[in-house]
Amino acid sequence: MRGDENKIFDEFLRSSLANYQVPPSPGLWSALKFKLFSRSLLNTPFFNGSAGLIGSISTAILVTGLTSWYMVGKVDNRIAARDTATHKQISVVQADTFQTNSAIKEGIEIASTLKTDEIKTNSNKSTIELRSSKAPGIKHNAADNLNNTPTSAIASSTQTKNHKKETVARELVKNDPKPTKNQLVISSKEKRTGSSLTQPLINKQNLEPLMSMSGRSYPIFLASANDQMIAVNPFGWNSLSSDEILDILKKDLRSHYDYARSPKLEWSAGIAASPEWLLTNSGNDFGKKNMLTSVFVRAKRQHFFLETGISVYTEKTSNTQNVNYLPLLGSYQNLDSVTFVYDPQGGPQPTYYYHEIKIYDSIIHMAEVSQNASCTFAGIPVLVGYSYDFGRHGFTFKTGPVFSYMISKNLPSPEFSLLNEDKIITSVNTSNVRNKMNLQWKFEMNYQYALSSRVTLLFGPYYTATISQPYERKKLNSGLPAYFGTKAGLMWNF
Amino acid sequence: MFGVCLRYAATKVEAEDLLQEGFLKVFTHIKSYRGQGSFEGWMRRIFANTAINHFHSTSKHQIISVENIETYAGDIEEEPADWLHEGPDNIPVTPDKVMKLIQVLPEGYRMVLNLYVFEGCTHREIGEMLQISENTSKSQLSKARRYLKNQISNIVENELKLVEHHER
Repeated sequence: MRGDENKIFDEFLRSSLANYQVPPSPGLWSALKFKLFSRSLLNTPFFNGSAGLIGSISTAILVTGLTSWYMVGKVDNRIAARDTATHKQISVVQADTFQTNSAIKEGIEIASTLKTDEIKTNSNKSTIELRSSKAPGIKHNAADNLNNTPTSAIASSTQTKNHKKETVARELVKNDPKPTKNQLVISSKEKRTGSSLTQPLINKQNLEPLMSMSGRSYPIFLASANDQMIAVNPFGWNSLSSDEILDILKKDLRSHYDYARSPKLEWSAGIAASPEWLLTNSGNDFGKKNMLTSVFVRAKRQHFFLETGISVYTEKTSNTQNVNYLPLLGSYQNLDSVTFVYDPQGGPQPTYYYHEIKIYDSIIHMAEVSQNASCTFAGIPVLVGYSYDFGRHGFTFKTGPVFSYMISKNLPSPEFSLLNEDKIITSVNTSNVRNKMNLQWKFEMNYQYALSSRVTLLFGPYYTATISQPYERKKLNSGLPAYFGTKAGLMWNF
Repeated sequence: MFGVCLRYAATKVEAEDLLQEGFLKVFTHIKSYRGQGSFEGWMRRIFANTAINHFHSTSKHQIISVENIETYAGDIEEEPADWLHEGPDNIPVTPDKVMKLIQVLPEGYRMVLNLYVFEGCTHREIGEMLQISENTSKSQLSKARRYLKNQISNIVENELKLVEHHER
C-alpha cells in the first residue's frame, strides 16, 4: 500500500515537472559562447592530445628561439654598430701617410681657441689640462705648463670659443720637434670646419681613451684638422714608434669600450597607475574595472633588470545572496471566545475576542539578491625584465610572480525587497568569496620615453593571470580571474 | 534542459552554472553520440553526470544543512496524503511550487530523489554514483519523499483554509 502511494507520488512529481520550462538568464548564452570559442581554440588538433603536447612544446621552443635570435641579433648588431661607428669616426693611421705638419699646425690653432681662464683654472673641471712631459700624469697649473714645455694638451668639446691663446700655440709649436714618424693622426670622415671641429669630434666620449692614455705614461696631444684629429706624443717622439703608440691607442680604445660595455648596476624607482579589467569569463565579475596604483624600484644591469615594489588595488565584486523565505499568503481573524455583559434593558451583550492567524506558504521561496562589494588588495611583484633602449625611446618586457594579499573587504549585506511579514529562513552568500592570499603571474610590456636623463615616462599593457585558487568558495563556472590593464607612470633614474 | 538543471540545483545561479557546464560537455563530446537511443536522453545523462560531479565537488557546502532538514523530515511523522488520490489535476500545487520544494531539499536528498524518480536509477546505481551505500540512498529518498509530501499537504491544507475563510 505504502509502495503504491510512493509510486503515485513519484508519478505526481514527474507529471508536475514534465513540461516545466523556465528561461535562463540572457547573459548565460553569451558566456557559453565565449567558453565554447576559447575551448575550441585549445581543442584544435595542433594543441590536442599527445600530438598537441609535442606541438605546444615545439611552438614554445620556436617562439622562444626566434625571439632570442631576434633579440641577440639586435644586441650584437647594436654593439657592432657602435664599435664600427666609433672606429669609423676615429680611425688611427700612421703619420707617415699624412701631411702631419700642417695638421699639427691647424690642430694647434684649434687648441689655441681655448679660453685663457680655463687654461689657468687647472681643475678637474677645466677644459684644458696641461701636463708636464717630465712628469706625465701629474697636473700643474697652466702657467707651469706653459713654462715647462713640451706639454700635452687635452681639449674637450665645450670649449670652442674664439678666445685664442696664442701663447699655447706658440709654445707648442716652438717645442714641437716636427714629428714625422712618431705622430698619429686620427682622422674622421665627418666634415668639419673652423672652430666647430672640436664640437662633435673632440667630445668627452671620444676623448676619454686619449685622456686615460695621457693620464698614464704616454701623454697625447690632441688636435684637429679639417677632417682629421691628430694625437701626438710631443715629448716622447724619440722613444715611441708610431706602431707602439698605435698599439697603445688601440689597447686603450679597447679598454674604453670594455669599460663602457661592462655591466653596471643602475637603480631607478617610479610610480604608476593602471586601470585594469577583470577577464573572468563567467560569473558576475566579468568586465569589472579596478584601479591599481603602485610604487616600484628597479635594479638594472645592462639590459636585464629586477623590479619589485608594492601595488594597491581595489577590486569590485558582486555580493550575491540566495535568500530562502516564506511569503505570507494571507491572514484571518480567528474567534477565540465570546463573553456576555448583561444589560438590564437590552439583555446580554456579546463581546467577541479574535486573534489574527497568518498563513504562510509552506514552500520556502528563493530570491537572488545582489549588491556591489569590493575587496582591497596589496600586491608585491617580483619581476625580471629585459630593456632595450634606442636614444630616448625604449621598450621593456617583464614578467614574474605577484603575491597578492587582501588587506580589507567591503561586503555589505544586500537589502531584500521582501514584504515585511515574509519570514526569512536562510540567507547564503552564493558569490565567489575571495581568499586572503593568492598568487598571480604578470606579463608586462612598456614603452619608455626619456623626458630627461633622470626622468622617464612609461606606459604599456599588461596581463595578469591568477595561478593559485583565489576563492575560498567558488561558483561552478567561474574561472580563475585574469586581468588586463594599461599602465602609465614615471620613473626616476638614480 | 534548464528545467533538469533546476531540479538538481539549489538556486537559479547554480542551475545556470550546471546548464553551461553541461552544454560545454555536450558540444565537446558530441562526436561520442552514435545515434543509439534518443539524443535527449543522451543529453539528460550528460547533465545528470555534470550535476553528480558538482555534487562531489561541493557537497561540503550545502545551502541547508542536514540538521535543518531533519527538523522538516526526520522527526516529523508522515501526514496522511489523501490528496494524492484525487488525481494530479485536482491537487492545488503548481509545477513552480514543486520545483521550489525540490530545490530546498538538502543536496544529497535532492540528488537521490532526482536520480531515482526522474532518471530511473536503482538504489545500487545511485549508491555507486554518489559513493554512498544502498541503504543510505533508500533512507534519503524516503526522507525526501516524506518532506515533500508533508509540505504539499500543508499547501493543500492552507489552500483549503483560505478557501473556507473566503466562503464564509
